[in-house]
Amino acid sequence: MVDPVAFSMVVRVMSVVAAAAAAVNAAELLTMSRVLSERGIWRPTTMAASWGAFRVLLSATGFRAVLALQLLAALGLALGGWRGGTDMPWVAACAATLASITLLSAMRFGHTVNGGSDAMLFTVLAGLTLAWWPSASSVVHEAGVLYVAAQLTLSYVRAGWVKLRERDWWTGRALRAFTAFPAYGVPIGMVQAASQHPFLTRLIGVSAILFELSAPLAWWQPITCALFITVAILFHIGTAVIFGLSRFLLAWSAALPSLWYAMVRVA
Amino acid sequence: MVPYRFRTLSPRPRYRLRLFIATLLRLCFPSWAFFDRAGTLPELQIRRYAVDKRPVTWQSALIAPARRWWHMFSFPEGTQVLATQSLVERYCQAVLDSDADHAETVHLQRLVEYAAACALPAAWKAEGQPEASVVLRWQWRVVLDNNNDDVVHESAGLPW
Repeated sequence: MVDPVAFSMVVRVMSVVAAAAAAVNAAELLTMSRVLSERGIWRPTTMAASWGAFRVLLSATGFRAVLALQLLAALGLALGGWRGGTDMPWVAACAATLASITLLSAMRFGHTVNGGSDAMLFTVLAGLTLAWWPSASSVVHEAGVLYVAAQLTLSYVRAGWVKLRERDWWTGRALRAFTAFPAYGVPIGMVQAASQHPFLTRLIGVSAILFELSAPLAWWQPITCALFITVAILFHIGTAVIFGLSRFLLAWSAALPSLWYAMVRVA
Repeated sequence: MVPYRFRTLSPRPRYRLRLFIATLLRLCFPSWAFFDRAGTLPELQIRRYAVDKRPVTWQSALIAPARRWWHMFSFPEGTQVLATQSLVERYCQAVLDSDADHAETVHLQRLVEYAAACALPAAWKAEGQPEASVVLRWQWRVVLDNNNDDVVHESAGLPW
């Protein structure tokens, strides 16, 4: 049985946060134009061989226009989420445009821009496209949000499962290795703390595994759901501050409200 | 300063829809396996040759800049470093995987070499070398971070 109030609230929050994530991604890529130029890493002349029919959109000028469109579509999605309501095809069009541009950006880098955060934002935007789809049945609308909730839960469980099988995560060695890796730019004080207090890294490592594997409990009842969402937001703030995974914070924050609707639907 | 250009590898074959389909599948069915292999992260390193033609010490090419609290919402410089690190990881995987597509490995090697070349000016600056043009040769390599002797690939001395 569809709960229209919970559904509307969840879709509106997801839309506003996903719009913010998409706008930030576009702004970041616009400021990273040097690495996409002929003097950068992902040089058009080197990458263009695999672009095929997307050559015009992924060229230097075309890609800047695509990113400008991304900013406009993000504004449209945020406005739709803020206002709420039904039968607004332009909001579905904005979500679909943003999902397509997320795909194009990943193609521009020949793989993904920032790994899992691209995939999660794409999942959220695809789900929102269905959730806002005009004149569709409530089953289609619901499917959009439940698809995001299922992928989100899977993301935590899978990440927890691979850590569970790594002995280094139980001993704290994995966390020490990641904090010391220069590409993550972990503040020096935290690197020192991680190397001097093995118990601390062990505790954080085991806590991360338990937290990630507990994701299915969020579908169970309101208290476990609210608790999981709160801890998840703190977890992503932590990874953004410590490892600089800022794109993950916004992408997962956009997806987390879907868990609330999944819980309402299942509980 | 003469812009560095890749000179040693052959051009990549053309793939039409392959990139689109592969990227779409990757976004629709992601692996979600984050931070799974501790201690085996590949690290891109660079070094220059001194005026007396002896190489100086290897140093990390990809170092994320210092962050402030507001960078938890947006951090373009950090995103750039992480995107480049992801590229190095894909290259390492391709080199170590005996079934990997050779053309793809060559393409990734080219991009990693560009990444190393792009990191050189900042590395020279950090070394206190004001004039990049005095450096005539340099090298890059990819090592597994759990053991600096575990070299995945080391380039020949390259002209600047």
